[in-house]
Amino acid sequence: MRNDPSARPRHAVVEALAEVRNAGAVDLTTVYEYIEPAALDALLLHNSGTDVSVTFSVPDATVAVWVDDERAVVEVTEKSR
Amino acid sequence: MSDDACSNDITVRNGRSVPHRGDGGSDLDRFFEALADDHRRRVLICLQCRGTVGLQDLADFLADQEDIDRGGEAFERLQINLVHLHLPKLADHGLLSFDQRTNTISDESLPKAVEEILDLAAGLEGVDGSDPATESE
Repeated sequence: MRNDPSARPRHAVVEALAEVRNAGAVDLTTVYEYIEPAALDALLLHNSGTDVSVTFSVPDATVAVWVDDERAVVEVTEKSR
Repeated sequence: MSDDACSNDITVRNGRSVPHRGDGGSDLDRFFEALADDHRRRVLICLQCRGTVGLQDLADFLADQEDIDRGGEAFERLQINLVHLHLPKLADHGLLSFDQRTNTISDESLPKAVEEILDLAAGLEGVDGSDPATESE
């Protein structure tokens, strides 16, 4: 979970995955393989007043992202093996 | 970079020299999308000058252009943007190749339309892709 107010959803996603994977943010497989990060930001930062959340899969985990009070919140749920 | 602004074979005055795709978008639409970000334009301009660069050198180049301190959060985000968005997107468009195992980025031969857009952008935005370290030696 990240609560950095200035982080865009795409940064929050990468930082959360890096934390879970215990790896550097630039050493992770590019998230572009799973989701278009600019499209993710566009969906979540469009200020519609509607609750929007995005869920997508990465190998061995599911990632959920939403914006709460202008902060990107990321939940990484690891799949049981 | 094009050396002769008059030898322009991408003009559409005689019908269509930019291929139109069946899904309603032209290749030019795709190029503009790929180039609609100053970081991505700078990456390509840097590669036009240097050919192949490591991720670290590329990040340094962009940080210099934007006055970003190494080691700060902005630099971290710049690197995230490169690895997780800009480089794979440009590779997706065939405009560079990005080897994530070695963190090496190499130029690809660019369509004429892209070269011309980059030339224009480099002039307007004052970007010089050459490596100052090699010039001072």
